[in-house]
Amino acid sequence: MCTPLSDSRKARIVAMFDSYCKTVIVNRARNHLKPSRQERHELLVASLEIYAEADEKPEEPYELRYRNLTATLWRKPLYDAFQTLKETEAIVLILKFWERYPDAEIAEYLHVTIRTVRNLKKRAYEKIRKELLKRGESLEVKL
Amino acid sequence: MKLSYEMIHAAQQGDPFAMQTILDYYEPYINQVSTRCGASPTGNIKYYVDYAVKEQVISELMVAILKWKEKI
Repeated sequence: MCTPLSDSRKARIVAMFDSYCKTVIVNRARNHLKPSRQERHELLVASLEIYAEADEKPEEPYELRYRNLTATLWRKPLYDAFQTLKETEAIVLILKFWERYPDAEIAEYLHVTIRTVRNLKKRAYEKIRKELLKRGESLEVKL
Repeated sequence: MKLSYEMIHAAQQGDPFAMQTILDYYEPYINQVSTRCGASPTGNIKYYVDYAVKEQVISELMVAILKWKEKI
């Protein structure tokens, strides 16, 4: 015959069950709520490439000017999102998507390390994503 | 309401009342993790519970509760 469990042991079992259930809930919800980080990143990069070469041209294009670089944007939401970026972050995106520079050359242009270029890119992506979401212009939803 | 060992044990034995009580206990937590963020047409960010996700999480939690084993 089994010996009855003590109260402290029962409490321990309940605590384990509680954390088990919370882990299950969080993991399942996470799988359904959003695409993985990698997927979100790929969608944003793909979107920026499409935006950089958009053929839908309004009467007046939006010009971005940083140092001696110029980029033409055809969509206002993205232009507005660029205004929230720091100069170096915007330059990194322009060199990557408009000028098609590899990371190493961007690093050389800005006199920084490749790691810094990657960090700047990451920050810029996040800012653009947030800004577009605020304006109801999520790139990821559109694609 | 608090979780109790007896309730967990009953739910594992297939007691629907105990199972429902446990699910009710976790409902606020499930709502929290099923909340999504979206932009309204006016540009404001709003939060809402995604019921499709919530139902999926509840059904998977029920399966997980039945699978749970005391390792103590």
